[in-house]
Amino acid sequence: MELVKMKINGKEVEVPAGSTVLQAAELVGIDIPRLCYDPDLSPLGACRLCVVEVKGNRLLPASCVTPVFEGMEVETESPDVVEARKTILELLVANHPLDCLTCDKLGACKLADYAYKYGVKESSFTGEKHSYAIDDSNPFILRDLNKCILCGACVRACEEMTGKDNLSYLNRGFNRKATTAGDVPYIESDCVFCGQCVAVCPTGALTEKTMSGQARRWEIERVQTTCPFCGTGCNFDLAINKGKVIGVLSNPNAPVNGRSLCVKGRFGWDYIYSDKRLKTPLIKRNGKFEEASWDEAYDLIAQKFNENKAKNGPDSFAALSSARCTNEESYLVQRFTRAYLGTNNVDHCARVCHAPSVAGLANSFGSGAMTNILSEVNNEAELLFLIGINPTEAYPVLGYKMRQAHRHGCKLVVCDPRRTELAAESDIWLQQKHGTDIPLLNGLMHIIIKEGLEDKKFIAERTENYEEMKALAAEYTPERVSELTGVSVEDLYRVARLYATTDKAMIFYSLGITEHICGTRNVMSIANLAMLTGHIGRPGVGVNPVRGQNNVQGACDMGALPNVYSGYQSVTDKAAREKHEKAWGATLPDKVGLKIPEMFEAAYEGKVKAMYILGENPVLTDSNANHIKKALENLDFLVVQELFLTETAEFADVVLPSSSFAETNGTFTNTERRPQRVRQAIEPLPGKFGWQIICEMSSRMGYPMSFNHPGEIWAEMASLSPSMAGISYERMEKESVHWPCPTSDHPGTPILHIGKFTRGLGGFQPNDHIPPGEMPDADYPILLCTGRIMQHYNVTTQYSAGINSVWDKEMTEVHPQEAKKLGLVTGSRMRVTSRRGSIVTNVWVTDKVQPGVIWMAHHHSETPTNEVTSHHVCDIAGTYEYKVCAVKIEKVQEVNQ
Amino acid sequence: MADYKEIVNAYKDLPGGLIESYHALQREYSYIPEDAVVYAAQVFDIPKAKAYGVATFYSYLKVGQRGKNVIRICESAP
Repeated sequence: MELVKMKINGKEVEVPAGSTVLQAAELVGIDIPRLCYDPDLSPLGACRLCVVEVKGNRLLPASCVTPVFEGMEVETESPDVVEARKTILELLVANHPLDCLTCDKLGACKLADYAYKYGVKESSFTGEKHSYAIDDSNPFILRDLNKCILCGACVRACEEMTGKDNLSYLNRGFNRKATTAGDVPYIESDCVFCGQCVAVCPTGALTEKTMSGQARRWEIERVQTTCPFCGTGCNFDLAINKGKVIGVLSNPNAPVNGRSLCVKGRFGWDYIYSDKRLKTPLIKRNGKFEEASWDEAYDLIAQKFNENKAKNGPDSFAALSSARCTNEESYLVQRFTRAYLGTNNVDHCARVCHAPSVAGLANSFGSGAMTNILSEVNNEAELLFLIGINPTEAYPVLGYKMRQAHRHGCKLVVCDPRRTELAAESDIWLQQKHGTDIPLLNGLMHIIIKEGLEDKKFIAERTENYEEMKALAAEYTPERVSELTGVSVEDLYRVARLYATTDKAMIFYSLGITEHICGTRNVMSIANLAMLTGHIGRPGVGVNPVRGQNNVQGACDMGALPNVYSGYQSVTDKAAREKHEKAWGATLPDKVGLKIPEMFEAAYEGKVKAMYILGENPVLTDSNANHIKKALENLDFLVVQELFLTETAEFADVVLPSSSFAETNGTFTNTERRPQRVRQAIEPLPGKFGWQIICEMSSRMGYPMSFNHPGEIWAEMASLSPSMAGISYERMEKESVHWPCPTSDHPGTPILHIGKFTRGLGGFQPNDHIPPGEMPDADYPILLCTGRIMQHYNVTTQYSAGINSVWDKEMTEVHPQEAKKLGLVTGSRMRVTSRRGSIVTNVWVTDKVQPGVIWMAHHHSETPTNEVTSHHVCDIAGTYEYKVCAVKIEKVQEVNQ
Repeated sequence: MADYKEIVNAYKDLPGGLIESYHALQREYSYIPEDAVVYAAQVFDIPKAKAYGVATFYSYLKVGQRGKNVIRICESAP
């Protein structure tokens, strides 16, 4: 790095060439006041507070936009500089409410801090003051533009961090304001309530509404933790006052997300204080739940589980852990299920989302996780190839990063039947028909091979089974593929050439790929495409399944799966089993256990008779929900450990209250194989930690598990799992690493399959087109596709007062063509009926969906979407085909509530 | 009166066509209809908020309805 010698405040310093004066000063520990400057935003140079004196320069330049040069001499607090800053501050406070006594931002307000520093009490400038109405239109952000200093940080954050471009300057001169299009309140604008504007605002103009009047800033204790929503793995600080969470504040040291968050992460935390939180155990007596003591609950569970084991054998029991709980909780669930109840019948909701990724990528590469890491989206990738993934809604912060990458020149290809936000913004959008991913991918491979664009060296050295792949791809001519997928031949060529010829092309996919009858084959087809072009095993490439839940990666890693222990050690592997038998002091079953759909089938048939479910709500989230309900009804004994009395908990015999992410220590592992700490911020509302409850329950059954802290649970897990052996709580305090990380001095493995695949050679797995299990027909003529919306998570957000006060009902997307036919308008009520169930929903008329298709989310119990979704499952991974089923729709004649 | 969409479209390929289209809209309507601002954002592929920003920056331009005849008074000394 080239260095420049200069003097700051008389001190000789050496700083990197190209730095600004402000950055140079920061490097040597000199703080220059700034209002519009923000390290995460483009420099503006507008507030002029950061002016400095530069020898030989008649004017005072703004240090945030002035580059350093050799021999430069700078004074940052000279009399002229101080005088200029005072004048600027006086001008700013001349038109400021100066209500610092009651302002929530005081203590974190830069304007107040600098006024204090330079002794500016009031202004010598008098004149008209603003009297804007405060925008109190939404539950999340208070917007008081009377306190705005027009630094434009919010405008830039909206554009450069989130990319929603919802804010700009309106008017000019005295009337200038940073606001929405048409100056409407946030709630009426295109705002996505990510709150990045709040995070960067230097004054009290934008503040977190939940924190209003709750505490002075200096009273707030901050606890850094990991977000409990999607799998991106954002970190933030919980703001605590008097033992209570009052808000979420961005933490610039968050490894994945910096200060960016989404509406769920920043404002959805209040579910922890929902009055529906369970705080005491419940026992069902005569069909009604009654409050019970912990002892009563544990005793009953121990008695019933033990009786069942003695009477019906180990395999009559099944357990579900959860992708929302900590790694430590998942580890404990699979341990007591295997070691004490003697069965491998343990699974979790990865089964209904990314099990095909685990199975498919393990087949192709030998390891079923993201091959690369998220930061490469912005630092490395030249092309982002998205298929079956809607990042700005399902993983918003990752979506924002992708959008920024695209804006900075990275090419963006989106394959999606539905016009997602990124599809609309992409360079090329391939709108394939639902359920035609395999032909699409085979078709791209056909063109790449035909044009000789495949990576011959990579194929020869690193893969096997290529000839079979080539033979199959040969059958997928562009014309045939175009016919099958609805994508034009020309677009197929464009995308095939672009992907094959771009050196650093990253594939991202998600449930649009996995939740199909051919989910695992879809995944393997993606792997085929990446191997064909050598896009594996280096920075900026790879096959990247993005995990939808905060700890779905971790719950898999912990072995909450019927076939593996933690670290993906097979239960059928004798050595692995013996190692665990020794560690756990038990004889372990060697037979692979039941997957979720098999568990419910077995319960339905009366073979599984007792279940323990931790933090999962299959009644709402699993496909063909009526069948699930019948299965649960059929159980002899069901224990649910939950935060709320969910639709599933209603079926339980005993409900154990559990601790939320804010109330426990532990870890979540994000989608890029990065375990991160979850830190306890408040006392657990039920009085016990989730992990503690599992231990106590197991101990009462007769299998003592005693741990004093989740760190000990992690340590036991790590000692048994070579791929995570090098990661400890101590290490997580200092650095954030990606597994595999076999030893404490190993740096972790951001990129998998460098030089060699985990399985040795990468295996091409050619796959033919498999149409969805159920397609529209004369009786059920409409195709239903499902997914998630930005404002909601699968569960828990429904209990967030803030989120639910705005987005409280399902709005089903209906194409104008169907809407017109049935006389539906946005807000109409509509009945959706499939062969499995019938539900009533609300209509949103939009051409985001294709004609003949409706799209629904599954967040609201009033509209239990999964009562109508498909009963078909992926034949390899057992994942339900949520993405396609046949329904009929009819208008419901009633007044919309 | 001419359709605002036609007016905006006429400047689509002109560099800096946004301001030109605003002028043309104002010539036709004596103001810039709000719908036209939103439409112009689409046509010139800029955020809606920016289109509003430009339209409200110049004192000569007026977003939202006003009368046909506009009287301007100079407040500065000659």
